[in-house]
Amino acid sequence: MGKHLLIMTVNGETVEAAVEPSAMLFHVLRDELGLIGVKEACGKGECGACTVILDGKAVTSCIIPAMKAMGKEVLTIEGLDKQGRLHPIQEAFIEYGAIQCGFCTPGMVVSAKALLDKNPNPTEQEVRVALSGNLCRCTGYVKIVDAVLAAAQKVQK
Amino acid sequence: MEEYTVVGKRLPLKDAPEKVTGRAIFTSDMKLPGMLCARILRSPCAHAKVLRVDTSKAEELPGVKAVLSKNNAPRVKVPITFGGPRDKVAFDEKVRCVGDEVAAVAAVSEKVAEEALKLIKVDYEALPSVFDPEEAMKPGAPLIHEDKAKNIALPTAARSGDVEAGFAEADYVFEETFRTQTQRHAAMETHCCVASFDLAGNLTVWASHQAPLALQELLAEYLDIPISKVRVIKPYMGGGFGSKLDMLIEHICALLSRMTGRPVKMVLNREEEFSATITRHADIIRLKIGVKKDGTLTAMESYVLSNEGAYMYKAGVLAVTSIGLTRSYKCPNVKFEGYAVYTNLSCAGPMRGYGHPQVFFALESMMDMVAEKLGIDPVEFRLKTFRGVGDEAISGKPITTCGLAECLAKGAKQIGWARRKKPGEVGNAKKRGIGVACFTHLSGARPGKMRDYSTAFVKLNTDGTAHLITGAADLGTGCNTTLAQIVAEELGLTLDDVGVTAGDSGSAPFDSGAFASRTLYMCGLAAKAAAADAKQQFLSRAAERLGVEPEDLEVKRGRVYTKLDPGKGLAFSEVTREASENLEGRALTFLGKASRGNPGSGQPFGATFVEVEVDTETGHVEVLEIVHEQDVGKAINPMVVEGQIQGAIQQGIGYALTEDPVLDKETGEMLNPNFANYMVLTSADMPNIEVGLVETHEPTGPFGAKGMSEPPILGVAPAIANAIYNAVGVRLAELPMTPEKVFKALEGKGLPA
Repeated sequence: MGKHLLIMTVNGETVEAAVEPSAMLFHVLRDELGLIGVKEACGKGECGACTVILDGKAVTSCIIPAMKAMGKEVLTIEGLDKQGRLHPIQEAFIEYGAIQCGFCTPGMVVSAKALLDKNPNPTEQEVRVALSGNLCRCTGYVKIVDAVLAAAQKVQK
Repeated sequence: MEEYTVVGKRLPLKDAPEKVTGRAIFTSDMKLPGMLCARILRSPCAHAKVLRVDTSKAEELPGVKAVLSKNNAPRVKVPITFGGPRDKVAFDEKVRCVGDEVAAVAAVSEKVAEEALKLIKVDYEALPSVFDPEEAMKPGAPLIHEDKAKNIALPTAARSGDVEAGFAEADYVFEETFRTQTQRHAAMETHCCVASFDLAGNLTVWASHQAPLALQELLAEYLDIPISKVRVIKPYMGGGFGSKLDMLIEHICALLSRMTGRPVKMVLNREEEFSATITRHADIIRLKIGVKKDGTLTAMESYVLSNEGAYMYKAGVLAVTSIGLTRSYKCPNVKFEGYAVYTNLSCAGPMRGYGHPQVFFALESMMDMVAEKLGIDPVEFRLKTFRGVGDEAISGKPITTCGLAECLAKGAKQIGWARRKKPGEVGNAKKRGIGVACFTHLSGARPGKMRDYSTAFVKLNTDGTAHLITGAADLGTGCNTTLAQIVAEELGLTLDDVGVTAGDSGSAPFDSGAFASRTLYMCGLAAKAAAADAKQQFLSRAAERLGVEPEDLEVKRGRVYTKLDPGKGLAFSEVTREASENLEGRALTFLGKASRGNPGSGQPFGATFVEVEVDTETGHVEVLEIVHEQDVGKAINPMVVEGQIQGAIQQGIGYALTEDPVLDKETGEMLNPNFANYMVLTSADMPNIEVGLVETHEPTGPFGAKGMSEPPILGVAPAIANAIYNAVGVRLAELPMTPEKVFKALEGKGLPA
């Protein structure tokens, strides 16, 4: 079986890629498009390191068949900062010390973005639940939750 | 107290922007021209002779460039880690655990490499296996290493005083056996490396590794080449927690690179990371304590069987276990007997806490029992009996500073210790309880026991900024920032003015690596001294220019000036520029260097208080609140220190309640090597955590700091066990304290009524 042509919008730009039918979205993003911010930490959709936003919904791209993104919009961590100007969530993560090794960070920030896009003023519990699909082994999540709550305040202003 | 401008400040990490934008390149992100992908064929047998490995079909598969097996791999003992025994040969004639390496393939893609593995035919002759250390110690047990008489990797003993006499004079004697599990590190980035030999025989390895300078030496030894031909670079690294101190895959990739003449990359998948990398030691700890009515300890005897797994990593963990058991509390008569026992499980090795999570689970649970029997408040009991200033520390030297009393007082107040009731009194179907546990640990390894030193270079740039070159490995601990803070403070610069190159053997001198909570304490001492050395050279030049003596000068906020007349001085950059750009034959760069070994002090202390709610109908334990107070000496960056504590607590709760590696009874194989079934806590699972830092200004540490990143895990499991007891009156002595175990214990006690 030959490769298929996948056309999608990634971080605001239309991209084309020839993909194997069995390819998952994150293979295309990482290997074809060089978006290394999309991390692999389990390959089974269990840890959230590969989180991207697909048509407004946070998904674990390692278990999304690439062709499912046909004609859709994908946002990865790379699409958050605009020419070096950081998104308020990113600024808050830095300011609140919410980053240690940084491996879970892209997925965590993207999940936070998906949350705030839908729920601009979440409670602490809502933040914890929304991020519960993103595992972190370094931080204990405390400063991550603080950062997201602070970013929510900032974004609303 | 001294006023610092950079040290002690809650400064964001220097590399936070790289990480938060996804730009940071981790080893697993690397791509080099011509790079091949490698995969390992692993044994499905727990214990077997490898009779024949037929790699012919695999070698013929298009895209396969090299295959390694016992047919062609060097028969060399692998130094798994520095200072460790050599009891492993890569691709050996025998496999000793499920997951043991049998062959490796380098191919043009991971997919092709995986296909090739399936084409390798291996004939095994199964041997009887053993997974339990008590079974493995019995005569007639399957012998795992033929060059040893028994399955004992390391017997360890320690004694002081006369325990028999001590027990005789005790009013009460307590005895209990505690068991713990093989917790997994579960760092988010798995083990990975890229190895590349050039045609002149120079090897470069990029590795997610906690000790790049040590790895450089291990590779040189294994490959039998001079260290000068090996370079190890640690890129951004996704965690380690002790799992990445060994030479696990780097030597295999190096061999494959040498065979193919191309760079070779290997990234372990999550299943391999769980089931084929080192684990925490599972210990059986039999503890016996004699105590007088007034709470004075008269005798402490412990017997430990530590499940070493298939290979011995290093002697350290059992040794540290022994000293934690014998040197935490004040007791004149102590005895320790322990055995690291080989079994056919995965090799056990260092994991955050290094034997002490097991120790303090046993000790602090038992001390809780003792306090209850004696009718002494558990906090009071610790204050009376835990070691303090002047007592012999775990390191063997006297304790210099100890903030335990303050930690206990603050923590007790914060959690509301006074509202603690008797077991069973709070709640109905769901009962609440409060527990406490204390802990101590090391800052760095014990002096004289292993290579434990750091060397740093600090250079002053022409424009008066500085650069730190260190072998320290930032695995998420933030040391690339905190070490720079130390250098900045020493030189009167801002954090921004200090650049850092770390973890590259091509530039950095030897550094033992990141373990034993040593990085900030020891790499910090070296960095501070190197900065001071650079400063001294700088002051000599500045003194010449100002016509004074170097001792007359002070450096602060980018200026050098005379102490007696601050108006008389120069900009820092003026001095460095003049020196660097001098055209009269007197040009020089100020380069400071320093090596520092372990002073053997800086012992951290602390207390963890926990409130739990136990559902007596299901056995489920919910952690409501954790209050953690820790003597950190000096928090170089309080934000970083708090983050380390909070992360350690996540691992500690998992250790206590949810992280349960389920092992197959026949093969020892881990049946839940995935995040779906090996439960690490998510953000929704975490309780409220209050962190307090106590600063005792340790004189041997850089700006008073102690090591602090392992200790916060130590008190969590025993504090939870003690809180469960306070809630429902049942004592659990086996980790993890799953709902099933709690429920059974409650049933045994006739609860719920």
